[in-house]
Amino acid sequence: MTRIEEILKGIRPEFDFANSQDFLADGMLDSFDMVTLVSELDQHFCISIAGIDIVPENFRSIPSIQNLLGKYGVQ
Amino acid sequence: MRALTQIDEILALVASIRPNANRFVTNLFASREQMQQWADRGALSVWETERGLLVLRRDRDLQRLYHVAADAAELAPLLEVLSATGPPTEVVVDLIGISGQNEAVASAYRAHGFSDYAKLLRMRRLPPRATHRQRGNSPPGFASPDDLETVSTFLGRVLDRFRDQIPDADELREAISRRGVLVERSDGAIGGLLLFEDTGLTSLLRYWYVDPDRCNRGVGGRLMKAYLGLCPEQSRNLVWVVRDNVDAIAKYRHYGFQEDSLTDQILLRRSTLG
Repeated sequence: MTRIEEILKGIRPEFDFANSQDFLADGMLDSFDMVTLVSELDQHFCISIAGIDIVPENFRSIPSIQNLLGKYGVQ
Repeated sequence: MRALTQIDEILALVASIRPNANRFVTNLFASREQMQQWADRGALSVWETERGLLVLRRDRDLQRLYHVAADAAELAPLLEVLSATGPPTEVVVDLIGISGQNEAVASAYRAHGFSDYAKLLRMRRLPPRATHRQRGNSPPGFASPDDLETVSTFLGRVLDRFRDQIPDADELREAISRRGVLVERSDGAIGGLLLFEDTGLTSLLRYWYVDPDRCNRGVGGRLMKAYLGLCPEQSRNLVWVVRDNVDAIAKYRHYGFQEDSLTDQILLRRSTLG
C-alpha cells in the first residue's frame, strides 16, 4: 500500500481507494473530506498545499494526488 | 452587492482569487448544480474584492453567508461592507473544518457582529454492520408526493432555522421523488421521519426526528433500522449532530456511528432591525 493509500485509509478506512478512478463521484470522499485530506498530506509530506491547488480535480484519484504531490517535490 | 444569476461568474471570481492565495479560506462547499439552483431562484447576491468574495443566499427570512478569500485577513474589508450595506435580516455562517482550524476565520466574523450559535460534529458509521430487523408495528415507508405539505410542516416544527438548513419545497419534492424520505405514520399523521441523501457509496442522514408527542414508542428505532436496511453493505453513513446533544450522540453511537474529525461552527449575526 502506498503512503497516499495509507493516508486515505486513515481518513476513510471503509473504502478501497485503489480500485476507484474518481473518489468524488464514487462517494468515497466529499468536499468536506478534502479539508481533512489536505491537512493530512501537508503534515505527512511537510508541505503546504496552496489554495490554487485545492480543487476537486487534484483529489479524484491516487494518480491525481501523486501528480499534485510531485508538484511539491514529493517523490 | 449585486444579484448573481450565473454560477460561472462565481467560479471565475474564485479562480481569480486562488492564484494569489497561500492561506485560501472558504466555506463554499456547495456543488455547482446546487449553486445554480440557488441562482435560478434569484437567491444569490455577491460582494467582491480582488482577494475575496462574499456570497449571500436568501433562505426563507434569513441569509446564509459564504466566503472565499486569499486568507482570513481578507475577510475583514468584506465583512465591513456587509455591516454597512448588507441586509438587516439575520445572517448565518457555517464554518466547516477540522476542529480548531477555523479560529482565525471565526474571529473575523466575531469582530463584525457575529456570535457563536451552535457547533455540530460529524459522525460516521462504518461497515461491517449489524443486521437490523423490523419487529412488530407497521414498518416505515417512503413519503409520497401527497406528503409534501405535511413533511414540510413537520420539519418546520422540529428544525432550528439558524442551525439547520431546512429543505424548501423544491428540495423536498426532489427528495421524495428519489425515495429519500422515510416516514412512520400514526393515526393519519406523521409520527417521525428520516431524510437522507445518497452519493455513490456515501449516505448522508440529514434529519431523523420523531414527533415529540410520539416519543418512547419505538418510532425512531424503526425509522433508523429501515434506513440502515436500505444501505448497501459497503456504504458509509454520515450525520451532523449538535455537539452538546449528548442524547442524540448516544443514540447514533448505539447504531454504530462514531465521531469524525470535522466540525461545523455556526455563527449568527442578529437582525439589525432592533
